Amino acid sequence: MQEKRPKPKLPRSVIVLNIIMILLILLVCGLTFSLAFSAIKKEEVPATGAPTSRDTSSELLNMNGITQSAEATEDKPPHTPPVPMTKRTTEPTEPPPPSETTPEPTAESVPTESTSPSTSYSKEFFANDLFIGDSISTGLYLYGKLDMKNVAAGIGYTPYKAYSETIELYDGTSATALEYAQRMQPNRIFIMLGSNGMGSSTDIEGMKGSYATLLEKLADSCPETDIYCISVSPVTADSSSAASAGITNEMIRNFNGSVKEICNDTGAMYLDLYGLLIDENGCFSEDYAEVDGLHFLGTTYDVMLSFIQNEIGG
Amino acid sequence: MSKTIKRLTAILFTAALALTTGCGNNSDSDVSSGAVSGATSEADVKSAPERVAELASQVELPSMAEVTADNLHTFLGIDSEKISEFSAQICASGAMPDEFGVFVAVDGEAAAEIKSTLESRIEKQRDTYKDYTPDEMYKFDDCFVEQNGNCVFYAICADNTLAADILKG
Repeated sequence: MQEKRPKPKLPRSVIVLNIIMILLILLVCGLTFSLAFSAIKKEEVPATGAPTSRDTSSELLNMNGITQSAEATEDKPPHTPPVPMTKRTTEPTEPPPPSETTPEPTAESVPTESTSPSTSYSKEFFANDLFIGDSISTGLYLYGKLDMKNVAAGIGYTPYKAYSETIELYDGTSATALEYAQRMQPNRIFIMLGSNGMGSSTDIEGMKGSYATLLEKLADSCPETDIYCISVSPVTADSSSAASAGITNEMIRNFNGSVKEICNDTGAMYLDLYGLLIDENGCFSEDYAEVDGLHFLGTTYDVMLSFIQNEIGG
Repeated sequence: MSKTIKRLTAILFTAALALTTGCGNNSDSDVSSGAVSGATSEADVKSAPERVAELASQVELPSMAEVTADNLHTFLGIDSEKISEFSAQICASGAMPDEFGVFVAVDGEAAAEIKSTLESRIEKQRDTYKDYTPDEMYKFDDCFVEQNGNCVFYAICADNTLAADILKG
């Protein structure tokens, strides 16, 4: 009888090595899968959380299609709720000192509905009016608050330049603000000048004279037009533009006092925008100020136009 | 016992092979999706609004307003019929000289004309702001207007180098 030959056996070490290799491969695969899953999860987080700045910009662009008004590209909303402000009919003399006991206004403590200035106005209300101003007034049409035909404004414009230096107008032509007013014969003229050329007391004295001259010239050129002088707006406590130009709120208040006197002398009407835009420290409220602390955010124009419309009975 | 070990070894080998094949597939798909997305980004050049939005999100800017087809000529002197696509923003408050945009012209001649218009625009803005905001004049130091085929892009902002990278698409 033939002896049954034992089947050859794999050496135990080979089997163990095989098992170790398999386990290693499994481990590597497992790690790969877990890494892949964690990457997918990370990508999902921004989609459900806060939008990225890129997302925000896209949203902005979507809101502002080519045919839409620039109004939609308005500035970002204020970081804090607007501080309560009371409309003043007279020039503020001394800013109220900051009270240590008064708590900072918070979203909980400020009833914004009852204290925030109105931002509603009708573009139609100003359809036959003209704003004469400097760079601040250019924002009226750059933000799309009013049509450019209702604004005669130039960067660095002063009362003197308003009747001596040409600016570009909505129709591509150039003229001084006075010439354009004469051509337009608007129902109302709003003068928003004075922020430029306030660097020294000599400048201020000179500007008072040219302001009065501008009013006279406008009254002569547009006899049927009501003329309103809007006070120079305040600057923030840390305004870079004001510091660069050497302007302080005290200078502005002083100049505004003179504008008010000129109005009394000439029959023009004075509108106190300064009092509307200051915070509890008597400075330009950060809620309304552009980053330079002197120019306006988009919402500031809404507040201003609403204030004007209400003041003159629109 | 040895049979069991052999069977177990065979099963484990098969499982391991299946798994490694799976990983391989996965890694292949990763590569291919990367390649696909790369191909997509190469094929689909970013639109003008996308580039402008990207710049707006990456460079510090004052309050900006979107230039519309209605005011494109008034603000920048560019005729809207000479462009097929555009996106541009300008400083809305009048405080600073910041502005930038991308314009896809209808042809090369229109593109050259737009480039020339924007070069004049930059000079005009430089003159306007040199006395008004001297602290902002550094934004003009390396501001640019560039033309790439029918596409013209320009920027005056705080980081014109980054702006050029973004706007060229």
